[in-house]
Amino acid sequence: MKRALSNTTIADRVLFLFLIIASVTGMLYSREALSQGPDVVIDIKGKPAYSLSLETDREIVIEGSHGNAVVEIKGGRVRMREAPCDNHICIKQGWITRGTIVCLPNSIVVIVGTGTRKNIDAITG
Amino acid sequence: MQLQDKYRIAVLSAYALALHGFEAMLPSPIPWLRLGLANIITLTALVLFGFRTAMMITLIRVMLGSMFAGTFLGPSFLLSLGGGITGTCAMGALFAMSRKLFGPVGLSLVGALFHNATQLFLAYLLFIQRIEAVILISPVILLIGTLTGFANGIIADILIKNLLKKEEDSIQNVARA
Repeated sequence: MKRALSNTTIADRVLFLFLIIASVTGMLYSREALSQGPDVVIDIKGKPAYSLSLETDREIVIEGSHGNAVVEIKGGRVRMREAPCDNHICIKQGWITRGTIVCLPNSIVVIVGTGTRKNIDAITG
Repeated sequence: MQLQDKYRIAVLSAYALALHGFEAMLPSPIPWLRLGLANIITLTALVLFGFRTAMMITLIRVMLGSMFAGTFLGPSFLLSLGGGITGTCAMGALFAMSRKLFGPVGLSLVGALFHNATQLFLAYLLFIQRIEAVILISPVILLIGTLTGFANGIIADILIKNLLKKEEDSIQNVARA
């Protein structure tokens, strides 16, 4: 092994180190980018009920345990526009681009940026 | 093309094909992870016999390999072909530019890099079409490719040295006789 390593040129080693460092930093960086993925998941009573994209504008009416709530997606942001609860904490939270909106009395949770998709399904050779 | 070149290409292609088939049978923790063992043969051919031989071997290996696996002209064949061609071209270009700067290990690393980059690009164009998935997966592929490319480069280096030594020995024997 030592003999094999001594046969590498300096450029070989520099290239190897560069690629290792680049890929490891890339992994760290992309994991950070993952947490702000453009996905909107709406959970009702702890179960994922809707999976939407932040990029397409739409309004969605959700039937919660207390009545209908309206979630609005517009311009890459999400808000709870209407909710049947009393305190309206979720509505006061306003527009968000990442994180969660929780409507507790209604058991509705809006999560932005889950990014847990597995899209690679092709085998290469 | 010389007759001797044809023999060389035939024999080396057979080796590359055997390695290609062998690694397809290996159990892999990740389905798309491949060791790229066939690149050892491509690299050896490039250093010893030149770019044309290496490219011929790559093309024959990809075509026949996919025919044996039953994926000829399918999606994985396209990825395999694209990666093979650009990987070999990158190694050939680097080797033509400078024979002193990079050894087989460096060539192997560059080959693996271009191979993976092309496959990612083709996979994006043809199948995935979600840039965030590609961005997520590419550092992982880059890291694995670097490690396997490094190992393959060392193996190719040993193979090249031994083949050159054998050739020298046989020349000496002929001279003595």
